[in-house]
Amino acid sequence: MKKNQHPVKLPLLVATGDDIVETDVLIIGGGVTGTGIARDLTLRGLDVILIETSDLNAGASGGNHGLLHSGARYVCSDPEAAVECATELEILKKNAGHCIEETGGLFVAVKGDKENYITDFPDMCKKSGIPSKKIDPKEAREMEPSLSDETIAVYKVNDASINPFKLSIENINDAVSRGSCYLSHTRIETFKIENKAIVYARVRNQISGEIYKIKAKTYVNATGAWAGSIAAMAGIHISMVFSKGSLLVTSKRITKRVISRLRKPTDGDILVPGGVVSILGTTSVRIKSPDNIYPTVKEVDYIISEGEKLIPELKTCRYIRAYAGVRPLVSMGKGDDRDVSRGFTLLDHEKDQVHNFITITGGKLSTYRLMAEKTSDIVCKKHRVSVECRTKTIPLPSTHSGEWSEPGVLVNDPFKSDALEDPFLCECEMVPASAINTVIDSIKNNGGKPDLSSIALRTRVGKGPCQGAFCSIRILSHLHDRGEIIGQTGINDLKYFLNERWKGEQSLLWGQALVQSSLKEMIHCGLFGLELV
Amino acid sequence: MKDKKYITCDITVIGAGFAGMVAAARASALGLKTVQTGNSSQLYFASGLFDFLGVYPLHSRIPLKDPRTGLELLQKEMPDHPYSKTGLEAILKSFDFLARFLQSTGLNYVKPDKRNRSVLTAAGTFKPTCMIPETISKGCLLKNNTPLLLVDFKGLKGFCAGQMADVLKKIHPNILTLSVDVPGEGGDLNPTYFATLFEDSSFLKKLATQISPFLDKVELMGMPAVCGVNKSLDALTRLEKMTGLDIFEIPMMPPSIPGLRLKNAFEKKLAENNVHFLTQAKIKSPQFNGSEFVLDAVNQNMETQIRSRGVILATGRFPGGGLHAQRGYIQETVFNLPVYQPDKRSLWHHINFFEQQGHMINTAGVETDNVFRPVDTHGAVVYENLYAIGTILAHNDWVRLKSGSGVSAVSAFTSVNDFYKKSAAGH
Amino acid sequence: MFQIALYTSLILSTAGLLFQVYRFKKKGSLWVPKLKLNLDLKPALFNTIFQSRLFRASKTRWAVHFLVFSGFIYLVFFHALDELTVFNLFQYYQPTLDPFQFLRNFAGFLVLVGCIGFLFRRSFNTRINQDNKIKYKGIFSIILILLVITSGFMLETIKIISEPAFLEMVEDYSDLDEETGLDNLKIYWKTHYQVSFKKDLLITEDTLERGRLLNNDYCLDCHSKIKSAFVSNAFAMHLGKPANFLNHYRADNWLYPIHYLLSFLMLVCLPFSRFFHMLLIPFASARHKVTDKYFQKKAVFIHPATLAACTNCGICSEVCSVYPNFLITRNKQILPHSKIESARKIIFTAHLKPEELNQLQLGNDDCTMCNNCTDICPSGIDLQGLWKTLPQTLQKMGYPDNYTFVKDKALQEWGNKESEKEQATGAHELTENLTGRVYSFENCVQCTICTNVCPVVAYGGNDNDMTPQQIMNLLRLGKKQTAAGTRMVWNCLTCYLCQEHCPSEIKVADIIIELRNISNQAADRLKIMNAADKANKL
Repeated sequence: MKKNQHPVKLPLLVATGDDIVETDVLIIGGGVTGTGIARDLTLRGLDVILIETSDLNAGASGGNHGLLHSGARYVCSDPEAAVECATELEILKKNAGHCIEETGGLFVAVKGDKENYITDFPDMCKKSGIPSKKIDPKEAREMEPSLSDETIAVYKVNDASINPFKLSIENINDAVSRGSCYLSHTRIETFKIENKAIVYARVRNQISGEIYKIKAKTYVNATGAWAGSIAAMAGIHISMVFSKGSLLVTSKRITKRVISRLRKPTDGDILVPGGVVSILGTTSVRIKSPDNIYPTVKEVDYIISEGEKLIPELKTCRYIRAYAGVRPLVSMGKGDDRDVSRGFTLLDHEKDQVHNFITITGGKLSTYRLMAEKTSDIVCKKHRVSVECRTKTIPLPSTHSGEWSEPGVLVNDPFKSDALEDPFLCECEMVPASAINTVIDSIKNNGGKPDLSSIALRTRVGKGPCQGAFCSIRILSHLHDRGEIIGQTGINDLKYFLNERWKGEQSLLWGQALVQSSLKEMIHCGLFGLELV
Repeated sequence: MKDKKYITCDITVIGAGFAGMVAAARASALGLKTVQTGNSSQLYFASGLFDFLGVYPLHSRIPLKDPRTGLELLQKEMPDHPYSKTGLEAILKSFDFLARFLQSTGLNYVKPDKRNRSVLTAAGTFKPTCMIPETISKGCLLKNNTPLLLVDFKGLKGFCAGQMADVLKKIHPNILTLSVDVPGEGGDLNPTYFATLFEDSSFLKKLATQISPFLDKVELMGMPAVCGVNKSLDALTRLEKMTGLDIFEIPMMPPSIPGLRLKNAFEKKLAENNVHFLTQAKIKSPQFNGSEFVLDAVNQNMETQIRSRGVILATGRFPGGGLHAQRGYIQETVFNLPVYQPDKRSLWHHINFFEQQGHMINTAGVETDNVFRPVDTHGAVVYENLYAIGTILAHNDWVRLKSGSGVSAVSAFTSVNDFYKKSAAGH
Repeated sequence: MFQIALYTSLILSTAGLLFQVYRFKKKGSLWVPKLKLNLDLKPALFNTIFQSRLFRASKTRWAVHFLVFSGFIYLVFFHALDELTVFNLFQYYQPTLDPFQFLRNFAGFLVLVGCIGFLFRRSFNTRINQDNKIKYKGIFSIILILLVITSGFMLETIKIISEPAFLEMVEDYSDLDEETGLDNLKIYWKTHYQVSFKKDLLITEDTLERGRLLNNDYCLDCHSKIKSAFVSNAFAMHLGKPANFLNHYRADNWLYPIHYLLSFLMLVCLPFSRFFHMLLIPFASARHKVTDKYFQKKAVFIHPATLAACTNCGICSEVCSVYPNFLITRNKQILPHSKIESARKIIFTAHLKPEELNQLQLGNDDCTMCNNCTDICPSGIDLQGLWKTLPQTLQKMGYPDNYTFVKDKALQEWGNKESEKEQATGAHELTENLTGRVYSFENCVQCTICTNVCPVVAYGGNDNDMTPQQIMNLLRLGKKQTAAGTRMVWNCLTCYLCQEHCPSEIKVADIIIELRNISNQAADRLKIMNAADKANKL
């Protein structure tokens, strides 16, 4: 069977008993890299299926700062990566401007920071060709009034912030619009390997439980932190190191620009503005498994104590949530995880005796496009396709369903006269029912099943101060009203969603955030008794 | 410029949540000159259901059929729990007082039974509770095969009959649903305004017409708890007469109309009882001069100095502002009383929101003696006539135990009685 | 020459009057849908003759004004037009005879004193004098009167001292010469009539007596005692030496034309200066007030001629109920006397800057329609009628009130313009105000109690968009300007229920009021910007 051009129908075809689907390339992993590869390959004319065990950006792609590095952070530790960052930044600004806010960035040293790093910094930047400009600390504090009054040196660089969710959504939307297929909640069960090549992958739909096969010419493992375990299914060993990074979201945007500490990269030294909030991070903690990670109280307190040296306000401001991501690093030796190359690892497993299997892991958000390009190059070589990479030149289109992942969309879209008929289901982030409907349609269009979590992934729902206390039940009602959820799954959905939100809240509940969470517990446990269900 | 006023009274109730209201009700009923401060809109968060003890032990995760069996076990296992200080009789007495008090304002509650009642909530779940408004009571008639109609209203967010029917389907297959397009109202319906519509006969008539196609198919009807504000039972009865169905309300998330009814009832009756209410006033720098408390009650445009022999602290927990959590520790906000709490913040919350044992922070609070006077770390009473009541009390995870109203009522009742007894003896 | 000047000025004056009438008609058709005179004569007459309205408004000012009014009326009828009036009434009339001589002096004196009073008023620190442009209005007319009166007095003075005039009179009315005792008459006139003779005359009792007899024979019929011309006589007595010099150059001959030319100038200026009020006030005070009935019919609004009747007396502003607003905002256009001036400009000269128009709209918006100004207006102008019609005029000119402006069309416009600015900055500015400080609204726990207690949300129907709590969320999302543009902000009744109920103690109502101020400012800015855009396009 040739893969049907209408992705929505694909699971249906499978359900009819035809249990094998064919395609050119099967990409495993729906992070920025996976979706980036999907778009890159479809632009080169290949037929692609992308499967993801949960939903878009479930791993490190969703658990990061949303920072597009100017490269200045790596000038000392990894000049090569620094140059990559700088080139990619320019390409992305040009082609995916709608996902990016060109905030600019400041590297700031405060009293007590190492002198020689400060003095070497401009030279290092120059060497890597990264533009930086020295700024008088006084002037810097006028630009960013929340900077510490112990600021001693400031350099201006080109950092920008990016919305990785919008990036993935737009990448996959573009790929799907060109005929490829995205299957969420689909997990690899096994690879069937014959004659040093994967014949097909057995996959399982996590929600319906269906099991079927996907047959592709090439298999791309873009599972980030899980690259090791996917490769292991094909009998290949990749030595992975997992480094957990936790980040905090403040309730307001504290600075206009990205603020980095002017020192050797370490914990709690970057504050990135993201729409109406700021994101403070991160830590680096070696962990054994990339599953079930969440920020701990200790980490949260540590990040704040480091951050407040740079920006004193961080000590007192309200935090909305904390989250963690895992940096997938391919082990090269010992030392601090930050010393392990932040460059990416691209493995053609031909050398491991599996000819049609490629693993791409490591790297960073800033260079996702480059990683996708390099991976696609190898795929194309294998397929004897000689089309050049086109993501460098063709801009990423912006779609309607993608824009609700942006905070405060309302502003660009002045009040509609029919606002009355379109109630806000999420009050905190002002997401109206119509937006939820758009997103539901888009999820269904991609063959997914709309539920609280998948809607929250694609919109700002649940990301505001109430953290799902009010919007969850409203949106659940809405889903029932529309007939999107039938039967008892609704309550389980609700509990799952609330619990996922909770993981990000529990480490920073004090002050007003505790008031808010108490209210949430009063509603969902006190009144609804969900803990008993 | 703020005017400064001076008041002298027998007892000051700090806080206007449920516990504070019960305390003020009791104190004024006993003839004590009472001053109350606080923000009564906290009652918008109250479901209007009075819980006694819903779940015990917590890990059983099963609603208690008879709260007494749970109470016996709880008193044995948790000697610090407020219930362990009072006993069953005081709890029942306080409920009885409360029911009579509310009755006198025209708000009818069904008196406690030996068994907990399970009340259907807007999520489609059942909540074990003890004393409930009459408008909700018929929901307890729900049997497996009673044909039931669930009604929701378009625009009233967070209440979907279909969702409830879906959740209930397993245990209750015989449910029909109706989504009512409210005539003349487009867009969002806000519960408080919407509820007032039910006090209008013509609206009820229109509603009854919409329900009429279902009349021969069902016997019982459930609707969101928005049926009238001040004359809820009257409105419900009228609708019942028009339709011939038994009707009950289903409590939904805040702002809660049954909570608003409570607020109105308390405010009305307490005013009649001459309780001096200083709305939104905050107590600044309270002092005790050996015989009486001197409290500065400050709100946006007025400052009042209260001299009071006794003080009832009913400021609630975090949402009420009685407790405040700094990044590392929890404080009591008015008297800076010692707060029983976990050693460090990492112990406050469990990583699982629905953890069966509950979160440790919910057991934090003010520890007291048997008549609810706060004690210090050595167990000594802090002030002779200072009482702490309601959710601020330690060792009571009221959300999980479903014991909020019971503890509030009994602690209010016991503490006011104790103060009254003492002052009567003194005079 | 006198005749030419007289007729020229009469023609000019008539032409001016006609022009004004034409102008009122023409502007009136723009301003008044349908011109109807609607006159009520009784109060008009009363007010015209006795200035009864002014009397009611201020006794002092009435007194001063009445000095000028009565004096001026006397002078016009019994001095300027003496040939038509007194001459016919009294056969023996002579301007130099008492009581006419005395009365003329007295009337001139009254006008003189009154006019000085007029000028003096401008140095007081009253409400009207806060607007410098208006403070000095009408000063031309006052000075012109002063000039006419003083020139008259000067003329009389010079005639008194004039030797040539004396000699001419002697020649015309007697046969006296040196021999027949002219010197004696001279001596008598020098002593009793202040004539200044070049030649020194020897005064003895005898010569004086002879002079008196001669005077009885020849002069007394036409010349009362000069003392009754008390002003001119006083001048003449103190003139001293320059008298001979003036006599030599026949100052009386050239002062006379100055005096009548000045008077004719007054006549010419009548339709274009403060003098016009003499004609317009009777008209204005005869007009019926604009009542709500008229409003419903859209029949008769303010007649432009009545606006022109304003004498900038400023009494309206003295009684204005919203004067305290002026003290706060310092917007002069709050005060009725400034507003009417601006309204006049709009109608007659049409040129006000966008800022001024906007200020006028804002100022007029403050009016509480208390009717104080209308009630007191000495000119009987229907000021309140003007305040009622002004908003419609301003709206047509692109200056609707801010509520209408925000509600109708501007929102979209400024949603874009203002939000661009917002996005550029992104971060909340660190200001001290409530909307600028995240701490004042971030404690919102989304409980919607504020929304639920809000009467505007409950009963505002389709006229409302956001709820109070959504406003707090907009602020948290950094959309201050958008929040400021919502209808909620404008529809808010400031009943403070939200603020009193908020469990998180957020100053919801205070924030909304602050936003309304922001919105107000933005609307002002936009209106002026729009006007500038329009001007650029043109």
